[in-house]
Amino acid sequence: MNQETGIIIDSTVLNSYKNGDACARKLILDAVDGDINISVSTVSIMNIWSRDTFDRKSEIGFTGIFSFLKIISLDGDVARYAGGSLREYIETDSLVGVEQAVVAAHAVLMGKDIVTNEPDRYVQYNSNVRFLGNYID
Amino acid sequence: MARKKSDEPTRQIFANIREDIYLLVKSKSAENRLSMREILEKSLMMYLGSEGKIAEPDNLAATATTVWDDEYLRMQAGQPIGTPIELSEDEAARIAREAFL
Repeated sequence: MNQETGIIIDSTVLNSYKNGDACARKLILDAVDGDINISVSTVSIMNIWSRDTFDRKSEIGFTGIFSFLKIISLDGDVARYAGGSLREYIETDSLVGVEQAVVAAHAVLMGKDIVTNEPDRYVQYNSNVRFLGNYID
Repeated sequence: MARKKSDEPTRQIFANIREDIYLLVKSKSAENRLSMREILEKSLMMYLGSEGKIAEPDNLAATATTVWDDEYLRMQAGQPIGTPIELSEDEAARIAREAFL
């Protein structure tokens, strides 16, 4: 496991953690213990907050987790990079893939690897993507 | 509503230990949902031969219950989504570990 440069995770990892996935649990608890630097995009947070299963306990749980993650905002550079990717790869009238485009933009501009449970969603982006299960192994 | 961190006095320690031991303990700590601090404290108490003689602090005794049994968090869980919540570092860590168990 690369514990030096840090990684960026997306909402698939956070949802897996909520659902009790062992790999996601190990990754998040490593962050709680200060053994790894994990970043998360505000767009991933928006995705988590928008789910119809989200409730007050989810809000408190994720608020606790985010105390140990680095939350990265959508700034102008990332928005331009992600927008360019969306224009090139995604139908312009579709919001599907916005999170992936933003996370990929963060990863490229910050030089971080992406850790996700759905690496196939990032194949068109020029970023280093790791499947959570393989990353933990 | 801000909460204070544990009032239990603590001391910080630093030591380079064998990596293979560290990795095994890390794996075991995740499996047992114990922090490295808790494991170290229990190990040190065993070394002193005084396990059971030193009273466990309240926050360790409380780990037998769920995080939602905490009075403040139970009250917070009953509030609407979006209600501001302030967490001490200890509370945030416990929530991060136990909220979704």
